[in-house]
Amino acid sequence: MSGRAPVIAARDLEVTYPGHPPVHAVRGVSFELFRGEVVGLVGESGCGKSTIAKVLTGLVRPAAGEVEYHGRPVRPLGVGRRPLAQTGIQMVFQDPGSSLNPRRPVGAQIQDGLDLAAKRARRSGRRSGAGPVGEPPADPANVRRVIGQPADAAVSPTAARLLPAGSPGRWLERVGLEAADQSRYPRSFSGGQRQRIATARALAAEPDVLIGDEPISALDASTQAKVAYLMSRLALSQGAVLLFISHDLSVVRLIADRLLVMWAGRIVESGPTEAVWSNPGHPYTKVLLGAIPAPDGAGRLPLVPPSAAAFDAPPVIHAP
Amino acid sequence: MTAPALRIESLSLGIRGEDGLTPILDQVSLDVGRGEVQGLAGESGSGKTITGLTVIGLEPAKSEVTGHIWMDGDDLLKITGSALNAVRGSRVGMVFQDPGTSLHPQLKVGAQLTDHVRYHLKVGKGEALDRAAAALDRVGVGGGRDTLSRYPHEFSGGQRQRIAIAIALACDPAVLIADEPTTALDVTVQAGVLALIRSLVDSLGLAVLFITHDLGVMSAVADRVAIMRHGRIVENGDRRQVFTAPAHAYTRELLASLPGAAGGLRSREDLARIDPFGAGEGSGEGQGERSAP
Repeated sequence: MSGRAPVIAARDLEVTYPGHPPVHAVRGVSFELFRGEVVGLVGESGCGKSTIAKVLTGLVRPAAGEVEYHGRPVRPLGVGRRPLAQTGIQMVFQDPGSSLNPRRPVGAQIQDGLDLAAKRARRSGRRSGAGPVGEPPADPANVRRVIGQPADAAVSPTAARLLPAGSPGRWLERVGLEAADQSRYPRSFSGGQRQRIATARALAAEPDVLIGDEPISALDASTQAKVAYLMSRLALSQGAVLLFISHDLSVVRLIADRLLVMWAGRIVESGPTEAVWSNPGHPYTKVLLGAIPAPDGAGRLPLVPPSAAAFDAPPVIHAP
Repeated sequence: MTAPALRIESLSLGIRGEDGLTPILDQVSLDVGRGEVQGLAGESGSGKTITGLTVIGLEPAKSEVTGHIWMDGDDLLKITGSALNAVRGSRVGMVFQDPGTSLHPQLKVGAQLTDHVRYHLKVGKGEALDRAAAALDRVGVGGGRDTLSRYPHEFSGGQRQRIAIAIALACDPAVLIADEPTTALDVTVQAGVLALIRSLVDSLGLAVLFITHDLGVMSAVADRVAIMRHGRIVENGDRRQVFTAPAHAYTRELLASLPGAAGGLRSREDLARIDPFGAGEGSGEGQGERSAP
């Protein structure tokens, strides 16, 4: 990965939440994300993974360290609007029932994203729809590798290609819904459909960093892999990096190029997905992988983990 | 062959509303034998939770129920009022998804255990306390009497769920209904709770109706697996057979959408073959959310 500049990077992040005693949620986390990759950030409740997402988007101010986006520090959010340049970082949240506005038609909400992209493009003196700010279009070879077909085909097979690319209707089609759905309200869609709408809204802003914070865990099992796949396919076809945060390793494994495993505020293991999956090195990663029950009918109880003290070991980094 | 501990026979349920009767359950039949975990799996809205609730008479208001729920020759559907209270807890225990809401946050763990024991077993305070401590011991929450004087928030999620199981089993019911008992837990914590449930089944001969959407969990803990869809059981059989040679098209469709299942998603190439807008979504039902960890 050296020689290329990361799109976004976390440098020695420390996050503390006030309390008695204060909660040290993130304890020295660094990583870099590069264009065209899907990175899975996995771990269990309280490990700090959602806090990382919030720091990356500026929603939480780190106690130490910083986030660099295209080499510039991400300014933590104040009372005003997010700096326009930082709207190239977009997020899809766990529960589309609360992240979508229930009182506005979905088309209007996607239009918000499109407006952001247009505004950013005007600022930088280029046409929107040409890809993320300051970046050449996605490397087609990279995209094909993951989606199994040319980037242009990353749309619903039935989509009528008559609508302009930058319209809410077209975005709904790209996530498998119909253009006519734009006047409907979030409540009239299923959970999986709502999460696809939230994805469309985020991607309409033409981000080059898409962060999914547990975006599939509120969905039925049969829908999870589909939504995860759609998110990765669309993000990559747009040339964005996808940081996919989840506690569910079995789905993340299918879409991620790289894994970052978090435990107790630290990254305890990182490396290419298959290397981590087939040859976990850190005791926590071993336990986490061993605890996933496989739907194979074998009747094997997952391994019961030892006490947390056994996880205190140096981080394991697999070579790319 | 001895009668099963719990027999659900042709259970149908509809909810009466302004525009007539909305069918929820359609001719559901299930047997749960002693020392056996009968799994009941399905997606949100399939009717699996209502099946469990109906067994202990907690079906929604305005429900119209037909069929039978047999336990030791009694039809639980014919038992009403205070007689039903005697069934709940002493003959059938229930564990819910979220111990954060099923336990009373302002009552000490001991009080929650002993109230229940004293109501059903009519024993004195001392004996109730002994029983409560033994019940906690059985689920692996140590500390004995000291634990009894603590509040639910002083325990982790996994321990709280163990306490909920201790309460459900404190009066030695023959049947336990566990509705998504590990869904709110982390996988590493879930592993311990699943091992506990399995060991209780094997050591006490408990009959468990285990309800979950998670087929991985089902595969780990169940002896028999029933698959439910739109209020009907579409398939019910031996665990290994259901997972490796599913008879119903819907079961096959479910397994095909899961990582790690037979015929399921095993690699990125498999993922590229699925239709991301796929049938599981389009099957007509609203895909409600379930709460997640």
